[in-house]
Amino acid sequence: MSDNKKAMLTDIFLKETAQQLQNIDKLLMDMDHDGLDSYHIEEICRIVHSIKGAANMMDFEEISKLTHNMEELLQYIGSSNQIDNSVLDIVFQCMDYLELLLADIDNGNRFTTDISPILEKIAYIVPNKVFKDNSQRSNSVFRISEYDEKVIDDAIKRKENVYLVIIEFMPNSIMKGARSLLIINQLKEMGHIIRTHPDQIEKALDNDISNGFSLILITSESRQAIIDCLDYIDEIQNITIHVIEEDFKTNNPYIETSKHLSTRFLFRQNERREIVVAIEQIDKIVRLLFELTDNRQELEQIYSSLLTAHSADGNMDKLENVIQQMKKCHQRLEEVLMDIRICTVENVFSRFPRLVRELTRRSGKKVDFTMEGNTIKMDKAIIEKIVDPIIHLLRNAVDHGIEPVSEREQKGKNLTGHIQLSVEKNNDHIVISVKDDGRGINIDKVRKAALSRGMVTEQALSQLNDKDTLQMIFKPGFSTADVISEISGRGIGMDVVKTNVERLGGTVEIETAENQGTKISMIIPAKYCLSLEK
Amino acid sequence: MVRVLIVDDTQFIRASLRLMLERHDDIEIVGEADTGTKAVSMYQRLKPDVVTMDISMPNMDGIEAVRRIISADPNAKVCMITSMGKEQVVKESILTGAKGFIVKPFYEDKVVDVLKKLAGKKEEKNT
Repeated sequence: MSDNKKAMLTDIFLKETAQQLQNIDKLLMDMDHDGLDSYHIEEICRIVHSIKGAANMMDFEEISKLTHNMEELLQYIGSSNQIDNSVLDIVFQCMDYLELLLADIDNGNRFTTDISPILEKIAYIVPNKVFKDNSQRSNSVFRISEYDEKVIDDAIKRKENVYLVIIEFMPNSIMKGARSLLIINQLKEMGHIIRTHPDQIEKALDNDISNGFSLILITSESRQAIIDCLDYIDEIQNITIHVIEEDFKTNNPYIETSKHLSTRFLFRQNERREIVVAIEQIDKIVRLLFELTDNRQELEQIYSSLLTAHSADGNMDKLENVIQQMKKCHQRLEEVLMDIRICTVENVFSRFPRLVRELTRRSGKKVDFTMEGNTIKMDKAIIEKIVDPIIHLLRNAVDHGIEPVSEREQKGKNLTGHIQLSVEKNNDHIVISVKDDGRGINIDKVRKAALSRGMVTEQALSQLNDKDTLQMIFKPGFSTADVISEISGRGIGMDVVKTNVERLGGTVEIETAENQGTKISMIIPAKYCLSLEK
Repeated sequence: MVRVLIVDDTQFIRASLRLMLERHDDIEIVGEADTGTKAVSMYQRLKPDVVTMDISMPNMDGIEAVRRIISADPNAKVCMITSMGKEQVVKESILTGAKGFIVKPFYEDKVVDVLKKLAGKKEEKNT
C-alpha cells in the first residue's frame, strides 16, 4: 500500500475506532449498571471484531492481537453463567490498553505500549482451547452404492454424460467448506449430482476437507462447460474430469461399488419440503400451548388487579399491549397446529367406493354406494382410528344387511340395495354413519339370543328398552356365526367397532326397522386438538 | 465496465475497497451503503453488476440484505465480505443466494480478480 493511501486509511482507522470504543464504553456502562446480558455482549463482540479486521488490514499487529484476545474473553463471558465483577474489570482494562495503542499510532506508528500484562490476565481466565487435529486424509477411491450404479447405468443408456469431477483446492485455501458449497451449487445447475466424496460435502466446514473433494455428475453439458462454470470460483488449483463409461463397474480404477453404502439424495431442486412428524410431538406442543395460555391468563388477572392502583403508570399500557400480542400469537399458533392436525376425510374415504364394489361383486348382490360429507375436516389422528370401524360396518352392510336380489324381489324392494356412508358435524360431535336399506335387525330375536346365551336375565331384559337392547349386539358373545344367522343383523367385529369408538371417547348408536334397513352411527366428540387415547 | 456497489457498516472497509478498486479503469464504484436497508434500496436504484456485502452489520445483517436483494433480482451477484471464523455464516449466505465471498484481510489482486470474474459469470454463459 502506498504511503499516501496508508496515511489516509490510518486517519479513517483512528477516527472510526475511537468512535467504536466510545460505543463499547456505553455498552459496558449499561452492563455495569444493569448486569450482564447476551445482547450487549454480542454487540461489543461485533464491534471488537470489526476493529480487529481493520487492524489486520493495516498490519497493526498489537491491536489485532489484543482485540483477538478480547473476542475470546467476551465469548467466554457470554457463555459462562456466573461471572464476577473482576472479569468485567478486565474488559475495562482492555479498553484502556486499546486507547493507549491508538495513541501510539497517532504519535507515529511505533507501538510502545506493552500489552503482555493484559494478555496474561486474559489467558488466566479463558480456558485453554483444545488443539484440533487437522490431518485428515480423504480416501482416494470413490465409493458408490448399488443404487448409484443403477442411476449411472440409466444415465449412460439415455446417452447422458456421467463425469467423475475431482476438485483440488490450493494448498492454503481457506473456508473450503463454503467454497465447496459454491462449487456444488454451480454444478447442480448443470445437472444432477449423485454423490460426493467425502459424503455430504455440502455440510462440511474447512476442517473437514483436506485438500479437495470429488463428485459424480450426470449432465448433458460438455467437460469444458463444467470447467467454465467453475471458473469464477477462487482458490481452485485443479479440476480433473473423468468420463465414466459403460464399463465403469469393472474397468474404472477410481470408482468402487460398496454394498454397505445406503442410498442418499443430495438436495434435489424441486424437493417437497416436508417432514414426517409423530402425532405425539404435535400433542406435546399443543399441551405446552395450553400451559402457556394458562400462564397468560394468570398474567391478565394480575394486570387487572394492578390496574386500579397503577393506572397512571405508563408501564400498564405497555403491559396490556404485550398481553394482547401474546393473545394474537396464541391464536395463530393454534391455527397453525390445527392446520397440521386437520385434513379432509376425503383423502381417506376415497378408498371406500372401491372396497364396497369389491365386496358387492363377491357377494353377488346389487348395491349402490354413496358418500356424503367428504369435505368435512377432522383431526388426522381420529380419521386414522375410524377407518377400520368404517370398513367393518361397510362389510357388514354388504354381507348381512343387504338381501340377495331374489329376496329383495320377493319383498317388493328395489333390486339394487343402497348403502350410504355419511359424515356430519355439529358443534360438539362428529357423526359417521353407515346406513343400508336391507333386512334390518329384529329386536325380538336379539332378546331371545341374549337370553339363550345367558347374557342377561329375564328381569334385567324387561327393564331394557329397544335402544339398549340393540346395544347388546356389541357384546362379544354376539359375534359368532350362528347368532348372526339368528338375528340376521350384524356380523363379526361389532365389538371391535364399539371398542375403537369408545377409545376416541365416543359412542355407537343403532337405528333399525325390520325389512327396512339399519343405520349405525359412530358419535365422536369433536375435540380437534388432542387425540384422545384412553 | 464492472459496476460495483459497496456495502459495509465500517467506513474503514468501504474506504479500503474504494482505494483498491478505483485504480482500475474497468471498474466503477457506483455507490456505497452503510446499512443493509440502504443496500437494498440502492441496489434497486443503481442496478450494479456486483455487490460487495459485509456479513455482519447491526440492525439488518448481510444475509437478510442478500435475501431481499435476491428476491427482487434473482440474478443479482452478491459477494460476501467476511472475516475468518465465520464459515457457517458464509455458507448460510450462499444458500440465501450469495455467489461468492472474500475473506479479510483482503488484497487488491484478489479482490479485483474475484469481482471481475463474478461480474463476468453470466456473460460467459450467454455467449
